[in-house]
Amino acid sequence: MNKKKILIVDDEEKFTKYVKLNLEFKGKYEVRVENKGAHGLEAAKTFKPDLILLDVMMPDMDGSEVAAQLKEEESCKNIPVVFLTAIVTEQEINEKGSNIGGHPFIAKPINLENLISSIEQNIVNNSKLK
Amino acid sequence: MINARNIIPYTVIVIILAVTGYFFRLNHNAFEKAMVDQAQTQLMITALSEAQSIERHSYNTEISTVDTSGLVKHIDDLERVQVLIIDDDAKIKHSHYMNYIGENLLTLLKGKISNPEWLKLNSMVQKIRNGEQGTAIIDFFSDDVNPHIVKTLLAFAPIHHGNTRASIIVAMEYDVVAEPVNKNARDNIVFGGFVLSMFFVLAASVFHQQKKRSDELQNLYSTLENEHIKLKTTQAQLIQAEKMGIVGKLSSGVAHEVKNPLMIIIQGIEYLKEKIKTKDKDEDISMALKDIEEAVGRADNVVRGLLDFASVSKLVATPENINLILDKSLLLIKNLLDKNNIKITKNYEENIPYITIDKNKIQQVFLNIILNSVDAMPGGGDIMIRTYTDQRQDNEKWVTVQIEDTGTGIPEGAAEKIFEPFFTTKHSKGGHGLGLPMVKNIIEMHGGKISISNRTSVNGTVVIISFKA
Repeated sequence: MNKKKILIVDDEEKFTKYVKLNLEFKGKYEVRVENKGAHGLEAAKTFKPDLILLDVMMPDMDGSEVAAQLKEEESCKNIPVVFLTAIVTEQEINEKGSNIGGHPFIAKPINLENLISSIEQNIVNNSKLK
Repeated sequence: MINARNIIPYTVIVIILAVTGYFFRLNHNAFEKAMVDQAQTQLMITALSEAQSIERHSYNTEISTVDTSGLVKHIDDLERVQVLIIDDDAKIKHSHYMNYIGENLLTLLKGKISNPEWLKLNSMVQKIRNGEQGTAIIDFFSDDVNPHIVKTLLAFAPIHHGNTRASIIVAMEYDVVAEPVNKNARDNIVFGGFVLSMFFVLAASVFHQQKKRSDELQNLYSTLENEHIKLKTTQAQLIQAEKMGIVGKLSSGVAHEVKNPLMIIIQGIEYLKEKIKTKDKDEDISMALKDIEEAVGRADNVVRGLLDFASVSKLVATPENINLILDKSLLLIKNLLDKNNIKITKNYEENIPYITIDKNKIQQVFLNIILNSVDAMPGGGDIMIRTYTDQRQDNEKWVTVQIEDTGTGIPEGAAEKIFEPFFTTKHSKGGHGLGLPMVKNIIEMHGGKISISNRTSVNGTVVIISFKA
């Protein structure tokens, strides 16, 4: 069975390290990590992930900018992006329907079970759109 | 400033009063008039008889009079009666007072008579010149130590004085004005009256102006006070919004800096959980990891509450029906209410006025209040929701939502602190103490009011939330 490729772009190195370990531990995922927003686009082009977990707030380039560049890139525009954000309120969830700029989001912190569930759901949703 | 238009009504009133008073003073009452008429008749007869006597006896004058029945009476009170003979030029030809002879009557009396009386005297002299007979009542100033006015009846009739025509005047003092006045008192009274009248007019006008000004100032003050209250409210809302804006930025920063480490801890725990599964299972390690996980959950809850609390810096307000927002809130937690045996009783006012509010934030408010009630009724209970409109000061309409429960109520001593951030009576249930402060912020951002208290005589809490319609 082919492992699903997950690209994580987040400036929190320890967080990305443990997420990579935990996901790969499940045996179903191949995970690549980038800790700089600017490197996200290049990694997406070369790694060709099935899903990108993208941090909203990063010091060099924020997540929405990376997402916009991905959309511009022909080879990346169909890759589903799920935002990771620490700053979200109950009301934002109610108002935005779990969407930021047309992309779904995951509110930090999230446990592994919910993270995997969200990854799977968004990959399935994206494949339906194709 | 005195407005001429405002003086007119007062001037008219004063003139009417003055004229009425003047005529009242001159027009005697019926009794006095009868008395004067009688005296005039007497004097006229005396004057005519004296004239005949003079013609008969030359200047050997004996003053006598007749009463109204024609009986001739002798007048011996020469102090009160005088007889004068004047020519056509009003020159005195005969008088009891010898020093008057040769004087002009008008010149002699000029300083002893007020201006209006002077006109009457002139009129009498004119009639004498025309050879007429008649009577007049004229007020003279007396020359006594205590000056006073002497009301004098005068009867005049033409006579032949040698070869020239003359007239005889018989004068009798018949009344004395009680209050002493000085020589120019009459004029002074008239002038004083005029001054007093003008003063009254002026005072009345000033009073009117002052009252009008005072009313205007009162209205202005009320308007300013209302504007001041509105400004204060707006200012307070702006300060609150600005404060909340700062709190919002601060809490975003805190959330980012706290949640990322929490995320690392959670992922670390996940990793350790997987690791110990593969080795000898240690219950103590599993329990420790579970405790750490719960602690992270609590910390996350606080940060989430802080974010919600700080999110009240801006409103997206639209006209809304409060009854519908309440229903939507209840629908969202229907399962939870059923699970906790909570019975809802609704008493909504039909056709309640629309109010301009941020429906999502107000929904958050209702959810928070109702969930607090659920927490206060662990064994189930009732929640009564009522909506109504009422009129308050300045006829302003307010829409009010009243939510009552049959729970444990607010613990003693907690009532003053329930709106303080981080004050909670529900630590054990994961309460972070930011729910009610957030509710209060949201209500105040809408210019609304909220009060929470224990119900009287029965268990439970009553929350009253009002918005200006």
